[in-house]
Amino acid sequence: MFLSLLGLALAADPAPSIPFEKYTLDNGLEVILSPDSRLPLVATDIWYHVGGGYELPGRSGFAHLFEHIMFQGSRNVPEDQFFPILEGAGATFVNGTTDFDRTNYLETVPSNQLELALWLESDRMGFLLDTLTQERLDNQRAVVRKERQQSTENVPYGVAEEQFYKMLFPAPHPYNGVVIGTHEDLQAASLDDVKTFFRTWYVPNNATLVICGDFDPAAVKPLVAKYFGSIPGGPEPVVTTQMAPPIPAEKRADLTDDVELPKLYMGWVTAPVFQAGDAELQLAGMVLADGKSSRLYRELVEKQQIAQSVRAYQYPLTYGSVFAVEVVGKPGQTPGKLEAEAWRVLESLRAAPPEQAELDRAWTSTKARVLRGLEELGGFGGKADTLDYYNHHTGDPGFLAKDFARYESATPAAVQKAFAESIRKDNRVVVSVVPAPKSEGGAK
Amino acid sequence: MKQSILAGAAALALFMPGLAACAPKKPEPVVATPPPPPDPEAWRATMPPPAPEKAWSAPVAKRFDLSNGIPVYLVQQGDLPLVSVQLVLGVGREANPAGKAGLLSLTASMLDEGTKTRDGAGIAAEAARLGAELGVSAGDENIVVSLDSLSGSTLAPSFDLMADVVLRPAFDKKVFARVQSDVVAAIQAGKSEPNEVARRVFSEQLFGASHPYGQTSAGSEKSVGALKLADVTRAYADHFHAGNATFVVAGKVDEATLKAELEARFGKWKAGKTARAPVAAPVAPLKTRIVFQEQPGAVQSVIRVGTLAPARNAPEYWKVQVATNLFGGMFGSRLNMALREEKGWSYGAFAGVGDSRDFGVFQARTSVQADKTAESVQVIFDELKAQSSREPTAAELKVTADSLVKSLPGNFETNSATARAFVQVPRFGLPVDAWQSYGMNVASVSAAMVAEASRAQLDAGKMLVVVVGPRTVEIEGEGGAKTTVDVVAGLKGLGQEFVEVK
Repeated sequence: MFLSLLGLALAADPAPSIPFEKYTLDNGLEVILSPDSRLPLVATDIWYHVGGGYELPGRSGFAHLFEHIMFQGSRNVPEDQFFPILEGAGATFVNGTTDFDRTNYLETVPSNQLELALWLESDRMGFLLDTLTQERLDNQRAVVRKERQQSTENVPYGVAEEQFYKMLFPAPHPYNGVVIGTHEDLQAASLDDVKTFFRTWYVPNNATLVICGDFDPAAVKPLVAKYFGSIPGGPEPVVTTQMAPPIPAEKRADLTDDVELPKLYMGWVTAPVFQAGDAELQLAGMVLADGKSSRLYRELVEKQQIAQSVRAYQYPLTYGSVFAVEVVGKPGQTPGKLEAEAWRVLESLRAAPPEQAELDRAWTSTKARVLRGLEELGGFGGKADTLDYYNHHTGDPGFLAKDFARYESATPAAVQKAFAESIRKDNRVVVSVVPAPKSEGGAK
Repeated sequence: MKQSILAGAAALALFMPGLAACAPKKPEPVVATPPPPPDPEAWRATMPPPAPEKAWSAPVAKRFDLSNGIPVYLVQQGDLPLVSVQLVLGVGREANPAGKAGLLSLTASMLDEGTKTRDGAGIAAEAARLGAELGVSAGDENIVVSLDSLSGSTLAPSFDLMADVVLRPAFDKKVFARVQSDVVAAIQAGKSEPNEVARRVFSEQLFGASHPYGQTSAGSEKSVGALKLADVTRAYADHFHAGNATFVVAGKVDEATLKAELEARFGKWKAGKTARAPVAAPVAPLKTRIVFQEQPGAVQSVIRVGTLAPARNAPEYWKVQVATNLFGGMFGSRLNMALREEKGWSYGAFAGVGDSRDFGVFQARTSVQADKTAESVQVIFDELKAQSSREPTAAELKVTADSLVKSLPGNFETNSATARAFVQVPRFGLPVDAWQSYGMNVASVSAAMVAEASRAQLDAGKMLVVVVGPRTVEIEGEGGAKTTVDVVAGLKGLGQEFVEVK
């Protein structure tokens, strides 16, 4: 009794709040300022509200290809100098990522170098096409195709994962496949296509700039106006992506690949991010596979010792989330056995509500992880990224407390209900991978 | 599904297959046109200079001791209710008895698998309930039990859990068998990972198989597979004691609270008899030797080039640190520029000195397309020669020093980063204000000192070169014609001593 009370007491703590101020420039650029002067550092984080999930059929991989081109130089930033310039300035984090729903660009620099970061970001937002030539496009296309080989084709289970997403989101849905796109589509990209993509999506009115760290807002606002104010806005981008259709009947694929261990994927298209059921399914994923006290770990890894590792998670997305269960088997295990045993564990959560203590653990450890993420200004899951994330999905950068409330109000019965309704045999995708027979010499 | 432009330290995604050949355009016919209106955006051509630097000094740790002598270092920081604790046991792979490589690592892995009152799942459940993360890891020079906890009312039960794991491990026989087989399987899986193979071969070759550092801390399938539960309980009794322990704590907790919580749980922990064994100094390579291990079918070769370097607390550490950072510590370093940008054979190449209590190791690391393996090794030799034959320019010295010093505040952004940074204090015997003098130490290195350190440390004639890759690789030439490149013959052709290992 004491245990679960303590868990509840923790869960009832007020959510941390991140102070911020949000305003919009005349050209439509959203600006969110969040001062924090613990250290002489400042993070910038620009989200362009476009990702792999906004691409048209036959143009997969554009959003990600674009992210590469953004690091290649712009009118005033020489080719290949983006990283070295920041490095010499003492940057502690520089990166960019493309997901289905958005593309982001992050830098953390010493606070006296904030203007440098604004100069670099505004130059590529406003003046990228000046220096985008066929040669640069060809170069980056080749780089991305090598990256596809490394990250999808030449990694264990990469091809299976692509197949999994193709089955979850049949074409022409743009979540079909991997963010990096296909060789054919990348090869087909013309310079004009790429320029059109930039002019459509990379306009100030489709972007949000977060500045978080050691700065004085009164001094920074004129700098933001100076660097970004004169970049002309464009027409409001029209999003044509539709909600993913439900999966009408079970779909299966059995693959053979150059891997050491068998692996099983089970997946469902579930409640979109921040919609009813989303938080409940995230908690269900934690109950099933977060840590050594989770149900799948205890049953498959520890007790039966048929699995090397297990995962279960809700991947929240705008046009249909994915709930996935992944099981890597021990050598010699068949996918059929892994599937049957994993399904029995899922059945237990479909049939009865989780214990309150399980939910408390799931939520308390999630909350602690969020807090630890907020120790950082920049980086993935840092303060700047958190403000951008909530702003992108809800329009409110300060949504953190309301987000916490979703989890705190999720009852065991609600978790069971969401899980039992969404996670069924007749609406699932099952992909299995078994090791290819070894040839002489061992590798391909 | 997320694709990221950089992965880890190596720049994966920005690969440039050679510099684009910018064909000169035909001259346009000259037509008289009126001068264009002045460009209102022309001011952007100038990169903005930095604003005046803010005065900042790195944190200093407070030091106090528990009643049994365990030193505690505390850095109070942050406004979130979080605390990060590192319990460091100053014993590493040198303590593994002959033939029992991996023993300490396996012993550490057993800690969070069960105590007298909780099984592994029970430990994980309690940590999750408290919002705490508990981890145990065995490194080359020490074992760390880490606790990331919420502060406030959950700090005490989190420390209870940590103490339970450290002081009362169960060492159950069945659990031992499962953990042992998991570790063996992980080592086995590492054999198909060329970087892992290169790491192992490099240690073996640099230190020699009989030196305690010639083994990886995880050990081999054979050495771990032969361990018995009695080995583990004995290693625990010998090395996991108060005399080897230090706490390093960062976050939102005051000294009195921390002292009381630690004293209550660890104040009666007894010191053991065994102190850390001294480690004999190995001999650095006297001439360059190329060691090749085949990785059949690989499309890339992993290359490691290196030698011994000064320990972290040696006086010459700073000039070597600056010299090696200039050589390969930055994206814009010559090493990366040559292999990635100019040749386009690699996604990234980096070099540096690993901080160590006994003997530092300098290493340049890269993965290159297999058909350019020998050429890439030659490029590394050339760059080593180039740097050791000249003094850096003032601008080069500034960039390399700046990249080390200006990014320093980033080491203290999170509690766990701060705690990890301060683990260096007891580990290397540094003063509690070591991070405050870091900038001064870097700034004290002159161009002449860099030149001197480069001559001594970056001698292309005295390097261990480890290559893990295919013996031969097929490439497609013009018009689809296939040619076979003999990687081994290429390496032999470099005119250095060549050894192949299995």
